[in-house]
Amino acid sequence: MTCGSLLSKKLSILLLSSTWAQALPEEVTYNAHIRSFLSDKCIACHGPDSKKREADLRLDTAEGAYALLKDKKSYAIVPGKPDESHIFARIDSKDEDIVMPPPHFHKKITSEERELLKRWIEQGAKYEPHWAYTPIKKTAHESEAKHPIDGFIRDRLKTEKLKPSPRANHAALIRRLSLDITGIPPKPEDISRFEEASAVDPEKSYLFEVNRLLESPHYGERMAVPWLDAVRFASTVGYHGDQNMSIFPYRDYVINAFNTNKSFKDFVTEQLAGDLLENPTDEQLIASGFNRLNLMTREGGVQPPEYIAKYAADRVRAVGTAFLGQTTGCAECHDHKFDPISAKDFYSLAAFFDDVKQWGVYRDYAYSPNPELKGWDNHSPFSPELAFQSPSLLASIERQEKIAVDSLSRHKVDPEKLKAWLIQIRPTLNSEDGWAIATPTLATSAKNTPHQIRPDHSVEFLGTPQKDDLITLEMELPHQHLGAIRIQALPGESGFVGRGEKGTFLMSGPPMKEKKGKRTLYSPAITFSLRASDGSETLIDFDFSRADLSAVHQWGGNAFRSKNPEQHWLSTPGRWEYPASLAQQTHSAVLYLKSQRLLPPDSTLIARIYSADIARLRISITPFLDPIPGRKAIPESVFYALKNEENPELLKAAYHYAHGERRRLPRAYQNARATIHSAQSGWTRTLISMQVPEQERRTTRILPRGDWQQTDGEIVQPAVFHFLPSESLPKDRRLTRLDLANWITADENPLTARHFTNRLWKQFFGTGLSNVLNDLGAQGEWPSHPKLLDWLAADFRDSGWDVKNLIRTIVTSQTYQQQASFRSDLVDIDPQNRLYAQQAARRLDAEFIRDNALSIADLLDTTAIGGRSMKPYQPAGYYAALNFPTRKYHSSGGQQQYRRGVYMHIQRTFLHPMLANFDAPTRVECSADRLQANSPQQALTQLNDPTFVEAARVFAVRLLEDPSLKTDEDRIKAAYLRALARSPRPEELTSLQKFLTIQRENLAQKKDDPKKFLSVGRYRANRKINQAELAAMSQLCRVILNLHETITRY
Amino acid sequence: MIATSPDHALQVNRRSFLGQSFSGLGTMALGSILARQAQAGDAWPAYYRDGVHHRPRIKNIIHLCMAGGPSHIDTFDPKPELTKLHGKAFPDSFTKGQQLAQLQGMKLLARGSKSEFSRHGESGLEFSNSFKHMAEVADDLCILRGMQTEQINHDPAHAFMNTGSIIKGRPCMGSWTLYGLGAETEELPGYVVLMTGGGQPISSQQWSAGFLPSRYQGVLFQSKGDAVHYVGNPAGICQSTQRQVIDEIKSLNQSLSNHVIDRELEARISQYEMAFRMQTSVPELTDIAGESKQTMEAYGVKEAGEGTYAKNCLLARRLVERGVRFVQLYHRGWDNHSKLDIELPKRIQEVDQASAALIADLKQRGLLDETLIIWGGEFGRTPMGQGTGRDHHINAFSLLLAGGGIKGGHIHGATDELGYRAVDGVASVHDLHATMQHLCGIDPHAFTHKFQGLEFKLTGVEGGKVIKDILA
Repeated sequence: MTCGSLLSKKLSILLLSSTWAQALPEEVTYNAHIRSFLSDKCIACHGPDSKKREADLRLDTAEGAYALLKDKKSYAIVPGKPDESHIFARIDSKDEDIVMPPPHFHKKITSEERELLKRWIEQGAKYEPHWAYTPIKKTAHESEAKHPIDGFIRDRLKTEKLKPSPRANHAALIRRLSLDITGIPPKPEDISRFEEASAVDPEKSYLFEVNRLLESPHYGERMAVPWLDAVRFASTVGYHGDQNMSIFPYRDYVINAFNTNKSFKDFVTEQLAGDLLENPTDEQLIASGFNRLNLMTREGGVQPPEYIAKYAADRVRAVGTAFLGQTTGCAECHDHKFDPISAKDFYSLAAFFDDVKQWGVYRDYAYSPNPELKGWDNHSPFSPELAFQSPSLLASIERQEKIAVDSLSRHKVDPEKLKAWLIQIRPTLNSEDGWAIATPTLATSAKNTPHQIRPDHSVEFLGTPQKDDLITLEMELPHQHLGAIRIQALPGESGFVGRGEKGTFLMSGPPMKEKKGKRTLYSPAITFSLRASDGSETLIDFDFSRADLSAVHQWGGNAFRSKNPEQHWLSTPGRWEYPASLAQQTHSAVLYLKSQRLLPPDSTLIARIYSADIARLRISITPFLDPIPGRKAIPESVFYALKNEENPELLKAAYHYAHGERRRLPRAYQNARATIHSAQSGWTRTLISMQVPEQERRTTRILPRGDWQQTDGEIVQPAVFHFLPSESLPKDRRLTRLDLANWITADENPLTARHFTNRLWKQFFGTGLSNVLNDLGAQGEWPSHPKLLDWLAADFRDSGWDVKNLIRTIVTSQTYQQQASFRSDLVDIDPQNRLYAQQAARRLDAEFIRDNALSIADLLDTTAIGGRSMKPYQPAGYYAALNFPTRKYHSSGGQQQYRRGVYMHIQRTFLHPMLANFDAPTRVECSADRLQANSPQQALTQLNDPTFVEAARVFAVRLLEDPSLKTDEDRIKAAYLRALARSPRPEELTSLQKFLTIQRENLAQKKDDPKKFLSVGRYRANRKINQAELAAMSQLCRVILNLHETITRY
Repeated sequence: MIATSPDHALQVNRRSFLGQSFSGLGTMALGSILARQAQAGDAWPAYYRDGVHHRPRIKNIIHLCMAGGPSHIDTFDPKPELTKLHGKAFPDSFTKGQQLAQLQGMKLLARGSKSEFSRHGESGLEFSNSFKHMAEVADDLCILRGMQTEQINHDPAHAFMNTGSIIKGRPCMGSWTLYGLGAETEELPGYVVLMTGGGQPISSQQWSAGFLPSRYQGVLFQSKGDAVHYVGNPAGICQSTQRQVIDEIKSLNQSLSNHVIDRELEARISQYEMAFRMQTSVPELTDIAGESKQTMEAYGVKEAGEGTYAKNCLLARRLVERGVRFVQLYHRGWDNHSKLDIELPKRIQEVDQASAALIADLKQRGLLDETLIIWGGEFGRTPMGQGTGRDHHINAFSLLLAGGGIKGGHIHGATDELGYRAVDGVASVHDLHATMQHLCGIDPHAFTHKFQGLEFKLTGVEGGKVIKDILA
């Protein structure tokens, strides 16, 4: 970093060197030559901040600089007349009290700067508006290149007297493209396909690969990472207890938006104002979670208004960083010192969010009462939330069902037993979904609630809720095979599932006399028993229970999933949960037996349910042990096979679904099943923006010096930056978040398209065109290629904000395809590659270092897109300092462990050490850029983090298991191809062969303990592989995964 | 992105040795080591003479953070008038319009201290007798009784204490110090954080490098497993195999340099070398078996393997001995909203002996002169009672300083008669930072870093004032 920064200093001199080296530039312009040093050295005291302006002199505007000075006789700047410009007297003075900038400011005007200033004044001292605030203009390049990028780049190279570089070789290109567009390296077959096709038609094959990668679902995952940085997406709330929040659907939204190439305009609109759109879809509501990504607190003793002020400021900074490339944060306390952003701009921007429902403290405390959240605790949600069925969870259920079925199909069955069972089971298969409805013969209510049995065998209860009501249903059994019981809460006459206030119901038993410690115990809300023909009644024992829909008071919990299954069932929507129509939707709960029971034919099934307000109930049974609430009793394919008695493999699966003692079934099935159950029938929650009614809308005032205790500041209305054009906005009413979104992507907005384009450029070239990515303001950087940035930004905007098109434009340029990091003639002239005479090396970002290693090892799970966060291996005790509640970290099991880095759980107060070591931001503040540093902790991570050790081992397993690889040489070559998309050079091959020999010797001498080493990580390899050989090969793979080249894209 | 002004001493110095080589540790680390070797016998490395703004008084800082906010009234700021008012209404004139935390909207009653106070040491510093051991080093202590902060809740108050700002993502004082001075070790992180106790959560943001490069972040030593994440070899791998792996990586990386021109490559190569050295030096550091029985007893360490504040104090000494620039010990559990009379003595008992032992031990080894010790919390506690405890308080609290350049046996500043507000020698957190940097030979107003187009410094936009009265 330090090196880099020194080099960048050199470079900034260099960028001007073509002029300075010989003489001053012919034409000195304010933007290109004057603004940056004037801003850096003068503007803090002679600039926009009216409260801090010294001597009433303003040097950032012509009006101010040309004005008569306080002495009433001289002028700081007289256009065309440097001799009469008083500014030089102050710059040149030797008197410490007179010289400018003053010595305590620790900055001096250099002699070059002085000369530039002089010439600029000679030439008329023409002020120009700051480049990023001027309209985006598409101009033509001069050189003859076909591609506009090449044209602009070569215009500049020509003036620098430099030649562009030749195209990189095919393998390097496909690796570059894959890592840049999808963040995953190419497979050997991708490389050979591209090489072969390129021999025929290089242009066509290249375009084919570009389009293939842009259509890959992994494109969205790759693009999501920088966006999630920009909006500070995380799994936790950040302040104090740093509790979890349920927000992964927002990440799914972002991934999906990129994959479907949603117009960036819609992307912005949905995030800022999805909830304000007409009849918003779930997707649009999920997107509005953007406004809820601010840090939040649940700490006792904090003052709600203080945190409301913090949340507001956080959002203003977010809008600045994510969309506009402006550092709005400074204006919280005072007018911006360098940019024209005023404190009023800051608070006017904050006022757009006055309508977003939120609480200063997400809990109800005696010292800060918050009755709206009465009963909330450290596990409660950060309301308001949307409850919905997540496509990624549903997809995960489908996928896992396939794995489960596949696993059970291959599990052995006694054919005779199977045959007998198929005959027995036939009568149970009459229904549509594998559930057979139990016919009620008698229904009673302890409180005499009116009720009726409906023709569909449901029982409907009517009238007002009856406290302490106990409902008893007696039912005829449809058949004798009992694996699970389903309760359906159906919408009643009123259209709602409950008779409660919002159409909800609660099933909850009365408190019992005995207590567990201080805790009150409750009778089960639901019990089932069987009455035999002799009148004796026995309770049915259940193993556990699940519901598809039940309100959560505890985040991530499902009230209806306790070990004591029948405890408690509250219908949706819960408090601050949306949409209200959930109460009109059938709710299903399933109670699972441990093993299937064959019931005597004349038994009666009796249900006893404590509920004051249930509307309509129906009970069904099934022979199968593992139904998912709200779905068929067994997976569709198995059910179909069973009905038609075809496909013997699937029939085997069916048999196991009815008989398997879960713990004895194959591990693959058990893992799949655990994932299926954790997916809660696809239902989940996510934080959304909800508009409060007008009378509850907050009032934003300018807070003098940002002090929230000052309540007498000017009241402000929502407004965009006063210094930028906003003609498209309505003038006759209060502006909304939707107006803000429209303005951000309006044609007149000069910032948004430039900001996004500039950040995207870095993804493909390693530096931004203006390389202070988070600040396009005055203290940012004058772009290396302003016309190119404008051309791309204009094209992006005019294309309908088509992101894939912009990427296609970038990667099809010859500039992008040049060979990387090889020109010794550029080392001194252009160390940061800002002229783009070649491609640059780019170290992969944290998440992609992990993805890359797992992908090389063929361990990366690429089957699932989206879904809940995963928890990678993490050093024990890392969360020990967390409290309220205390945290225990369990790394994810199964395939979940091998998912991409974008899905990692982000604990804002304790970022995963691997991410922290590789410079990922902590997501507490929005970040438009990642700094990259170099530290020994990076080496330690790659050498010793179990994730990387395991990846090396699995990489070795793949090499040893591949029958086409016969020798060490074959394996080293294959390993290089996977990791680096190239063959090893002779010296590399020899070196690694020797290394392997030494490793084998070590193992023979028993220096290492291969057994221990080979058990790092959860992956279990085939035991048939020679363990010593695997250990030796794993060391070789560790070496390869640790290579600089492996984590760098050239 | 270093952007201090060109005439800045630190910058000039950085340039001069970065011209020759690159260190993956603190910016100045390599320079300082070279200098130390060259100037053997001189206690102050050459760059201190040439690089810094003025002659420094200290090299190292140990911050003993009593997290949760110890009550100043019951420890280092005796208030007899408050005791007289005990149980009566707290005068309105003090509290009107003031920010309160958990006491918001409640009836405010004065709560006198149950602690016994006497004068300690030759200098006669008056503080609670519960600090039996600190009493023995009283003449080394400087008590700042006029401290104030701006943040009334733990997380932002810690952030303010560490970074001088409540906006997230700003570098903490440890990172600033390391960034400015580097460390005098290549084998250990230059900024180490240790933690004990339970209670209020502490975010790793507190030792974050913020917008400074990540290598300046504090490294939290774990009490379980490897002290530093991933510093241990993978299970079953011996040191010689690990060395072979690293050598092979090095040799292949070196051969790459014949084919590409990549300025990061050289850094990567040295990074692996340093990683390997850390793998031996961290366990060596944390293994205190070689410490004498006398030393162990002085700190109150009973077993080498224990994870106590006492052990951490001993580690702190070992860290500064080895050239670690900034050490921060968090001891949690001072948030005494209730049961203050039971809990506070417990906390004092946990930290008193080892804190004093650390001062004495450093002194005996000649290290106290070049080390600054800061002892205290993120804020104070109300003179008004809150049930059986006290609420958070920002208008006044006490900090202890000891070490190089600091007057010993000295009290600076005072609160009003009820301990509500600092009235004399009032010092802000920014003033503390300015003083700290001044002692390091850094000009607090000139030491800046440019980020998002702005030049940031630890001492905030307005800057802090060096507390000159406490300088020896």
